[in-house]
Amino acid sequence: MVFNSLTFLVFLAIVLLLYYRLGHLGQNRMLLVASYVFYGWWDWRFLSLLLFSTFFDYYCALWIEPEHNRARRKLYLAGSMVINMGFLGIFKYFNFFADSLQSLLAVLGMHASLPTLQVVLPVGISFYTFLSMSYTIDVYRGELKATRDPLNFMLYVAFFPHLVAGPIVRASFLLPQCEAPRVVKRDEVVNGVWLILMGLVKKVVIADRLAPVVDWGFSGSAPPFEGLNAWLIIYAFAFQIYGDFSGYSDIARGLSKLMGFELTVNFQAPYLVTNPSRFWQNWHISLSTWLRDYLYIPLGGNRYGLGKTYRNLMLTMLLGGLWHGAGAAYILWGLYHGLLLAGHRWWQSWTGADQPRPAQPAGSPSGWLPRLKGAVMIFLFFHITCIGWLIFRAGSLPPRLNQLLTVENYLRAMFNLGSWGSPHPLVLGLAVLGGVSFLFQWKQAAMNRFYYWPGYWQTLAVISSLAAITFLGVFEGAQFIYFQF
Amino acid sequence: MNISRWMQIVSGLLAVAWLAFAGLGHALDGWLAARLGPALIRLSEGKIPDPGTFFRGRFQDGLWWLTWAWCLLLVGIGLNRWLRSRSWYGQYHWVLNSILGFAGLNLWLLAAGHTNLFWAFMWQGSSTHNLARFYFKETLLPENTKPSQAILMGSSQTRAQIEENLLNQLLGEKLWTTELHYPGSRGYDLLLTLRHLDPGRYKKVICYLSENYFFLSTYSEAFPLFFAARDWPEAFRMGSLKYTSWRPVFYAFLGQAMPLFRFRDVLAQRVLGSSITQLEQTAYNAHLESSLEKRAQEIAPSYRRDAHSQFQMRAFEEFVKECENRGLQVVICCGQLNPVLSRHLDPSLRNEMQGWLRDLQRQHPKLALCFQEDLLVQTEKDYADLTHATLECQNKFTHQLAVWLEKMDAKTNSQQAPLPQTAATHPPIY
Repeated sequence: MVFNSLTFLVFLAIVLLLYYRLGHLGQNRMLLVASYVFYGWWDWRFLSLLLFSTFFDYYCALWIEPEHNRARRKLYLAGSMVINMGFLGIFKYFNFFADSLQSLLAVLGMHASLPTLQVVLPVGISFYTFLSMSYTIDVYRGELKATRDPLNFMLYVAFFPHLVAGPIVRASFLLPQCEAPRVVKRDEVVNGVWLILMGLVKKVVIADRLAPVVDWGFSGSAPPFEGLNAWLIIYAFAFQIYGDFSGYSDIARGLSKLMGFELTVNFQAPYLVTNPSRFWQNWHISLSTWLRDYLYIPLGGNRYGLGKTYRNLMLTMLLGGLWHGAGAAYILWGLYHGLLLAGHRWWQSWTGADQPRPAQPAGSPSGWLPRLKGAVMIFLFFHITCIGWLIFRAGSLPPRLNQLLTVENYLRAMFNLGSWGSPHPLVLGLAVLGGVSFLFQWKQAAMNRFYYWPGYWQTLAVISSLAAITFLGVFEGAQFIYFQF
Repeated sequence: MNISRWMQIVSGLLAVAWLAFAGLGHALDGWLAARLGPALIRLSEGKIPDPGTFFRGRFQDGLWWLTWAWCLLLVGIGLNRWLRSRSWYGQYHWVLNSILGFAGLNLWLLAAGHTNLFWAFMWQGSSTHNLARFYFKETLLPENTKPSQAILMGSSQTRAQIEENLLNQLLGEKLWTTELHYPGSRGYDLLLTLRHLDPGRYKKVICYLSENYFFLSTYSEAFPLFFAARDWPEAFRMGSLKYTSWRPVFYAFLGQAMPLFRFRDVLAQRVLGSSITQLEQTAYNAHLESSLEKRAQEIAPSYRRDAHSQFQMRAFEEFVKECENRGLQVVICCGQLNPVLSRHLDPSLRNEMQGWLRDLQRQHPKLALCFQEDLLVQTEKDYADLTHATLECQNKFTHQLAVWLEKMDAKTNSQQAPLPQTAATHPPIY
């Protein structure tokens, strides 16, 4: 069941109808059942995995909290991590590592036939395992009290708006909302409706319209165009993945607001930034903060000198890449962003930009020169991000195509300065869809405060969104890209 | 200046514009026709025979757009004023105004979709969307003053076999044909399309039929676009809903309720360009099996005699009856497919189709029937793919059809002469 389907519309209508009629406990019970129905719609067999992971972490936290013996506490935490990572390892990474090992052995002249698993990747497994794991880690660190109510914990893990593609909401943020009675406020409902509409525009208008362009562009091991036009395919993917994933997050937040819940903001304006550090503060925020809090900082963060900072950045981003998928391209994408972050950190330390500065007056930089400089930096960094997206997209190529060769061919075509001819007609549609995508980012802050807009803007925005969904929307679109992660 | 003053001024301006159109329209049309007429006739390849009428029609369309938009705005303002007096208005004003605005947009499109000017804006040369092409020609039909007219209906195969412009050149004033095909049309689609068309000056409906119309079970592109509220009783009676999935029915319903939805592909193509909207089709075509022989082997099992084919035949019979009720003569060219494909099909399908068409002719004596074999037997070389003829073949076939139509008309005029010889006496071509 996907958010942009008729089935989901019926499902949501039933859920909301029941939700507004029930008391707090009834709401939680009903939401839990609804969430399991929502998840089981894909494949009910994977519900057992979700339930096992949920119960295991619930009990691990209960064992960790009263335990004073450090070794035992660590043992319980390790148990939780082994189980969650084990699920990920079996379903997501086993075949990749088996194949890689086989290839390595072949290089060394040893021919081994390692077993591979014929399993389907459960939808959203990376999201709910990370979510569940963060709970036990927080309890272990003493930052969170273990909940005694399994119903609340089950709802926290399985709450359908975030279950399959995030945001990866921390227990300290969502669990209290499950425990206490919720108040559905009018302003939040209005904001929620707008977020759903905006999310649908991003998904069915931007992402699903561009999906065929991207699929077509990556149907061979070389781009269909040379020179500037080769960039068009990468732009298309950049807008597609933004529309797809941030659209999902918006719909998830909007749905939650209709029920009095609040989810963390997952996207700000990721393509309107000037450096990689800001990019990761704006892109998939819930994952980047998860990686920061549970990986980068425990590794030492930036506390032990530049060398170790670079190492920690590289390791964190490498694992971030691997989180997205088991494949060389995802690892390469992680390394690429690790390098960008490390390079940016080096630049900051070299120019002294990481040193504290005297307070600047509030507001955006005034004067045309700083603005122009900002615009140029945004333009440049957007293209640097696009090269990353090229590597990322290669990760989901069909098996017949060599991922690294495709990346190489694309890079050659994109930087083939001799063949920068006239733009392909695709540029018209891309300009329209990309323009809408940038508009959403440019006005990101306002997008979250729809209730406070002047009435005529509200009306105009809703009519435009409805019209765009109606005549530009793709109604037989694919699933959300991030479901596969 | 307050809003009432603005309303008065705009209403006044519109009234003046209509008066000017009534008084000076002819002079302006004549002036434009004198300057741009020859170019327009040349560009339209004769489809716009009277430039004066064309320009007058477009002025009228434009004025109609503005007037209708203004009327809707006035109604919207009136409703908004009435809603403001309700106690609950303040909380939900944006919801109500958005619904009103969205409904207004659809109502405006409903009216604009009946004007040729709207479809002229959707015209994109050779990459014009099929629906825009269809509506563009349909909205021009009432302006055509030729005394004897016909419409050409069917699937893309019809268009590939018969060249409308050439046919008009050949037949001249005797019969003016407007091609109104819709790709992928089957028997039932022809019925829906005919019902959609307003009666006009055309007195003949020419169809090019092949096994595709009855025995090929593929989804219909025309159904969601042409199925309307008027078709429900017929749909229940004929059981047409059994042969389509819920999605086209739902889309047809949405399309009827919201013209913005019905015209969505055309509008999307206008806004985004055909390179994006037609990319999936282009990619699909590029990945088609290059060997026609293999492609024919793959597709042949989709041609079968079953309940669906029976339904398509019943629907086509309904189409013939509907034509009769409208006083239209149906001219059927029982055509063929690429012999590469025909070789892989059950030959009894073709025999059944031919026999059934003969029976249909016996029941409906006004129906004129000719077989491919009477005109031009086509070989593998005459086809660009499995169903569509090459331009050269199209040219030849159109010439032969023109001759046949002339003969048929001559015989009809000399009254009650037997209809042209059918394939009954000819050897089968496969």
